Amino acid sequence: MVDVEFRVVSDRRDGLLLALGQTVIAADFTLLRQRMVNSDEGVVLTMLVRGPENGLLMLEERLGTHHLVNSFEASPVEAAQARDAAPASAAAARTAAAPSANAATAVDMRRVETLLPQLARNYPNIFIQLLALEHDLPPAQREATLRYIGQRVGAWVYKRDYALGGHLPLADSVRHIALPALRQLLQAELHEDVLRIRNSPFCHRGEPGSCCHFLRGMLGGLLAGPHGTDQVRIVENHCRNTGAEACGFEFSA
Amino acid sequence: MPHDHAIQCLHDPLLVILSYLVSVLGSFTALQLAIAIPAARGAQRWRAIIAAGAAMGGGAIWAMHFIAMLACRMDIAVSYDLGLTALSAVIGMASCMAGLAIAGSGVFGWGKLAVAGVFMGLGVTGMHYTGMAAMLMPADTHYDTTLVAASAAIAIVASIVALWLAFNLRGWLQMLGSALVMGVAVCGMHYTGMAAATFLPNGAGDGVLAGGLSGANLGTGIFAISTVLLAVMLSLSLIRQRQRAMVQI
Repeated sequence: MVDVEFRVVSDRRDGLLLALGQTVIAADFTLLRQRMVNSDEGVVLTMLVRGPENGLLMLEERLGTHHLVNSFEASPVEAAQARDAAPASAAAARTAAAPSANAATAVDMRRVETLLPQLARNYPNIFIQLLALEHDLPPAQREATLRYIGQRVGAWVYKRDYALGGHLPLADSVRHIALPALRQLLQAELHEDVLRIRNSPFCHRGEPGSCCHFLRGMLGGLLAGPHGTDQVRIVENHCRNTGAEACGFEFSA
Repeated sequence: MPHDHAIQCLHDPLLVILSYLVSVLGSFTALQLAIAIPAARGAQRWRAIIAAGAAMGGGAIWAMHFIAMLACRMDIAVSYDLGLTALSAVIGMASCMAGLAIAGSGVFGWGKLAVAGVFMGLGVTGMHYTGMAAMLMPADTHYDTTLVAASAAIAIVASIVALWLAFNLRGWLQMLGSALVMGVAVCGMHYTGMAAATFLPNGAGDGVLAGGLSGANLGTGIFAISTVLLAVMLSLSLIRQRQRAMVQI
């Protein structure tokens, strides 16, 4: 179990605690403490949550792409507080395990949180940094980390450029939001409800299988705005890395 | 049937162009306020609906109508009944508020678009013919019903297109395209409605103008509304730019 403090900034106070509290509970976390204040940034909600380590990344993804959240920071609380929650008989084992697991996660999240503002400054010229990160990451972490970064970038682009307007059905969201957003980065086209990308830079780099994890995450972040993260499923059904002519993404809700 | 004694209404071209520009300005401001409706909740949502409806009904439609009426030069004096003039603004604003609220609620679809377009179109039409009823002059107004129906159809169809552009698209086409098309809706409806109208002298004296708003009074009011619209548009642009810059990744 880990304790994490989230500092969330939003434009809206009404319904914020209820909405994010439900997100926390849905991720199998417990909300221990919360504080809400108004500031120059907006409404700042600080939440101390406790839950399983392996669910932390998913919770951060859901908070990061929530339509009420403008920005958030996650800070692991001291391991000592996590030990206090454990039964005394297992405390020693968990003490030995928790720091190293936390350390691995912390390094990734610190690196991600350092990279994200750089991506925002350099957007849309972001692939050099992403490919460098992909090269440096251990193979086991590549898919999850790149997807997460893609989700955050997609959600940011949606809030910045596409949030104003009607709530569109999925097909129209793909056509009028996802497609133009991807066209800022790559050659993208829509063919019979399949979004095709001809020049993904993640292909043919020596990795087997489908590899456009960042793009899949970014599409999820773009479409999460009007539909909610859990309601849109994106599948990379074709990839140039496996011999296809173009990378193809299909959408379902 | 042509009327030999009908009073001619000759439009000043410069004021006609100005009327279109004001309708586009008002529509741009109103639709930029309206596209915030879907994401807003509670009191913020109501504020967006009211502001957008007021800008559309009061700015784009009402101000455009009376600039166009000032552009209409007739050989008789005309003034405007204050109560009906105010009522025409209320009709335009209320109908547009309803249309924009419908367009901005839930998932955007064709059925919702059609209903919203009907409300907006009827708002334009209702405002126009109430504004025409407010005319105080020594003449009676007769309407060609076919052209009246055509004017309403133009308003409804163009409103539907404008709403589709505003709520369905994103980017420059959304912002400018929707305003230009809505301007066509308002002006197209008005000038078709004016073509439907025939003014026949009824021998009434100048006493019929008593108590009405003169063209000079209307001009002052239109200037004030147009200035407010421009100020709101500029403020909204600055606020949106700042909000965009503040969105954190």
